Amino acid sequence: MKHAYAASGSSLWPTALGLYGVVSYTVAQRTHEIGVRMTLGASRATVTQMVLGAGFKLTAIGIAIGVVGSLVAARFLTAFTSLLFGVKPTDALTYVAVVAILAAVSLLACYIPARRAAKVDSMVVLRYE
Amino acid sequence: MATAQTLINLENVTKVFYTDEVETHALSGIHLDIQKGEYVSIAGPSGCGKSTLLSIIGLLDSPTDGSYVLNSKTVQGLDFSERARIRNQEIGFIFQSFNLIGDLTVYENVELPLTYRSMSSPERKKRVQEALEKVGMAHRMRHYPSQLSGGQQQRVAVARALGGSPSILLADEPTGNLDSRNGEAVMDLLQSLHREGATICMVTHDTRFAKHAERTIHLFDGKVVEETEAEQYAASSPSS
Repeated sequence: MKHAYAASGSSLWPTALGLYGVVSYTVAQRTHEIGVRMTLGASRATVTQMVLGAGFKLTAIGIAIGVVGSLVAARFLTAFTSLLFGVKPTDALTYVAVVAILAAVSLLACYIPARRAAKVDSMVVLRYE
Repeated sequence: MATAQTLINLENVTKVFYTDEVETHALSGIHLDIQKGEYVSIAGPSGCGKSTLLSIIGLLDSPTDGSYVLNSKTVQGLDFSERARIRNQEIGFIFQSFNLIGDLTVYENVELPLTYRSMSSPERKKRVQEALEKVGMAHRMRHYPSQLSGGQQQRVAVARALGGSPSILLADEPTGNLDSRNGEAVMDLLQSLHREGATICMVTHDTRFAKHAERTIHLFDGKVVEETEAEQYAASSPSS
C-alpha cells in the first residue's frame, strides 16, 4: 500500500509543479493587463479570483480528460483484476478522492501566482510599459 | 479655495521617492483646485512631476504629505480596495498608449470598468453603446484593438473612460502616440466632451495641445510655477 501512495504522490507533485509553472507564466505575461484592470477599478480579490478561475479551468479540463481516460482504461483493467488489491477498477470513492485531492493541490498551486498578481502595482506597470 | 463646485482640492501636496538613500522630491507644496466642468491642462518639461501629479489625482499613488479632497471626500490614506472603488466610479483614465486589452473586443474593453460595479448586463450594454456612439466607434464594437488605427484605439479608450460617467477624465499625454491629424481629432473629441459638461484634467508637454484647455498649470521641478488662462494664451500666441 505504501508503494501505491508513493507512486501516486510522485505523479501528483509534477502535476502541481506543472500547473504552478503554467499559471505563473500566464500571470507574468498578463502583468500589464492586470495593471490596466486594477487602474480601472479591479480589486485585489477580483484579480485573485480571475487568476484562480483561469487555473481552475485548466484543472477542470485536465480532470475531465483524466476521468474519461481512466474509465476507458478501467475497462481493460477488469481483465487484469489481479493487479489491483482491495479495490475495483471503477471504485467511485477512489475517483471522488483523487478528483478532490487533485482539485485541492491545483488550488494551492494557483494560489501563489494569484497572490502575486494581486500585488501588481498598476502605477509601476503603466509607467514602465 | 475649495467651494461647493470644487471637484478636486489638493493642499500642500508633496511626493518624495526614496531609493538607495537618495530622496527625490517629485512634487513640493502643490496647491491645486479643479472646479466641476473645468478643462485643465498640466504642462511642463519631461521629469517635472506631471505624471506623478496625475497619478496622485488618479489615486494610483499617495502623496507623502498634504491633503487631497475629491468630490467632497478626503481620499488620502484610504486603503487599496477603497481607492480602487473610487477610481472605478469617479475617474475615467485616458492613457498615452491607449492601454486597451488585446484579447478583448472593443465592446468588452469599454464594458470592462463597468464589470467591476454591481451593474446589470442590460445597463452595461446601454452604457457601452452610448459611449461608443459618442466617440463614433459603435460600428467597430466587434473588432479587436489590433484591427484599429492608433486614432481609433484612442477613441475607444475615451469611450471606456466615459462609460462609467466619471466625475473627471484624466488624460495622460493622450496625443503622445498619435500623428498630428489623429492628435487633433482626439483633442477635438475632448473639447466636445468638455462642452457637454465633462471635467477634464490633461497632462501634456505639448503647448499646442495645452492651449485647448481653459486653464494651464505649468510645473517645473515639482512646483507650480505659473497658471495661464486660455485668453492669456490667445493674447500671447500669434499663431492662435
